[in-house]
Amino acid sequence: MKYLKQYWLEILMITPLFVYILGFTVMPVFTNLKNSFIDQRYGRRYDILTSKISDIKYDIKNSQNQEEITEYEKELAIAQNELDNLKKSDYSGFTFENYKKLFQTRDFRKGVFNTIAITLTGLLIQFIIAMSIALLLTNEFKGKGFFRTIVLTPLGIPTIVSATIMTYIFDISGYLNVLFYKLGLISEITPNWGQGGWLSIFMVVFADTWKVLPLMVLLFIAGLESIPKSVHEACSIDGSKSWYKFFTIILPLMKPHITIALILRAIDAFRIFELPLILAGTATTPVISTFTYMEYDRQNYNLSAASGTILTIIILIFVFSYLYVVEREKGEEKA
Amino acid sequence: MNKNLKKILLGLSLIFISSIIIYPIFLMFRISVSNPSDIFKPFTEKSLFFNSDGLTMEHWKNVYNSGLLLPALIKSLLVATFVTLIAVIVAAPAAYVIARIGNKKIKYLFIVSLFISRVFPEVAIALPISVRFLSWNLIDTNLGLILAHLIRVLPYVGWILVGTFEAIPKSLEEASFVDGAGRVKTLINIIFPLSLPGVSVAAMLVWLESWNEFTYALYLTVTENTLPLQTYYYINRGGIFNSAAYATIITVPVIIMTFVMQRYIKSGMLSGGVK
Repeated sequence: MKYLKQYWLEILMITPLFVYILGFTVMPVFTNLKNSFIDQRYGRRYDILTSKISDIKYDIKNSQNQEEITEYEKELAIAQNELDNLKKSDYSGFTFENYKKLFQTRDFRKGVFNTIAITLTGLLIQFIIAMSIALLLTNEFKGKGFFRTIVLTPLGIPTIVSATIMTYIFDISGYLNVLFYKLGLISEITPNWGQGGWLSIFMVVFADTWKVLPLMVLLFIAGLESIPKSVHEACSIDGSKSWYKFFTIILPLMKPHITIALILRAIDAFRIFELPLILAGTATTPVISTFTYMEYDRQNYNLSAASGTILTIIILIFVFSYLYVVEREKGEEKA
Repeated sequence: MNKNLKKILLGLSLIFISSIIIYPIFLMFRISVSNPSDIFKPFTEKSLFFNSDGLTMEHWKNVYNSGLLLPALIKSLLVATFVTLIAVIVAAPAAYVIARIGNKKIKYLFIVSLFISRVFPEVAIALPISVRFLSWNLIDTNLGLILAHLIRVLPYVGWILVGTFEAIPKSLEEASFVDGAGRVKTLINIIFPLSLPGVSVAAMLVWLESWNEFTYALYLTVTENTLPLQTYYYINRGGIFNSAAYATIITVPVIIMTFVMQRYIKSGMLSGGVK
């Protein structure tokens, strides 16, 4: 009580935010978990019947005609009976059926593969390019500020917009194929980037890279700037070659920055949704999140919940490994 | 010689990188003002940069006259503005309290919980939310979308503002207490004005998040589209000119705002990391 009296203002200020997070983020995640253990056949039938019952009840409440009401009550009894039967059926209760079914579904397995492929190739490509640009930007040259501004441009471009533009570029007669044709790399027969497989994975990775590169560059520049000047000077006195210097000195010193940037990127890459949905479509190139959405769209809520839960678990593993890395770095700094 | 070669290589790589970054944006503007005859040429005759048949405002007129632009624009504007207002009102006080927690471990716990609630996959949250909103009659309404966007935005803005409030020295508050001002009065007269620059940057970032948001809008909309959904609608129907025009419309406020904010943005803000 004393505690409440002393901190009433703080408690009042902090409560709304966390109540909202609890109600609209944590609760849904657990609802999802719960729904993922309910059989799809039971779940859908249950939804239909309960909404039917509430509809009939609403009708009864608003009906004046006595005959109509008896009619409605008959319907209500039938629906109620069906619901009771459903509850006693074999489908009801806790089941792993959805998860079993997921791993038997070809699209889901493909989705898992695509998600991992997009994450790994994306991370590798983005790391190499962003690191090169960051290193380029540590040099002094004319027009450096201008170049920096250009590199940072896609930072603000909404994902939906970058996805839209990439459809023009990766269309079968799109501008990437035009470029390849002009360079003489392809003839009249054009690669179809949306056909699935590695071509589509490359397409999504390219679109994603275009969008997230500025952020990676910023993070790496921050990392490079954190290396003390004396280290660079010592290297140049030793006369070591620049690539040698990079691999033996700069890279190890930047390891904490790189790990953090890569884990954060991996979290985002696993959640990737708009780009594969819009660019590749779910028919040829599903990823876990678009598969989850498609099952929702087909009203297979329980299957969608199972797939969403798997994605959540993967993300949480990444998050905790991230926190572990950050904590360890802090510990090292102190020591 | 060697030095010159290095310079040329540097210049070439700069031009190469810049053109890959700029070309897509240029292409979007270009398509939105191109004649169909230029865009639908057989691809062997297509030009990467130039229109042989000149420019046209036809598609912009079509988009404006279709009657679909204004409702979508209004919905996007309304939702983004209300999300920003509510997010700041709810998250700022909480962020202030978190920033002033003395116990390091408890503070870290709060910040981490903000971080975790931000990275949950949206497709996992949107499903139960959309089922719940269906029974609350919130599908296709502005209120429903505002509530959904707050899910995404609240932890984010809270997390940015913790940094803002931490930067305000505690001694100022103590001085105000000594002068005899109460806690509420100190908050309003001292803390609020000092945090205003940070709060406005956070507000702009939130506004943009809501303006660009796609996933929740997709789950919670049947007919009343926002601008991103309207763009998606045209992409699905192969409406290349309409989608280009819509994408341009979405981008304009974004470019203006990022230009305004450029000086204040730090890399940490956007990545959402805990450090």
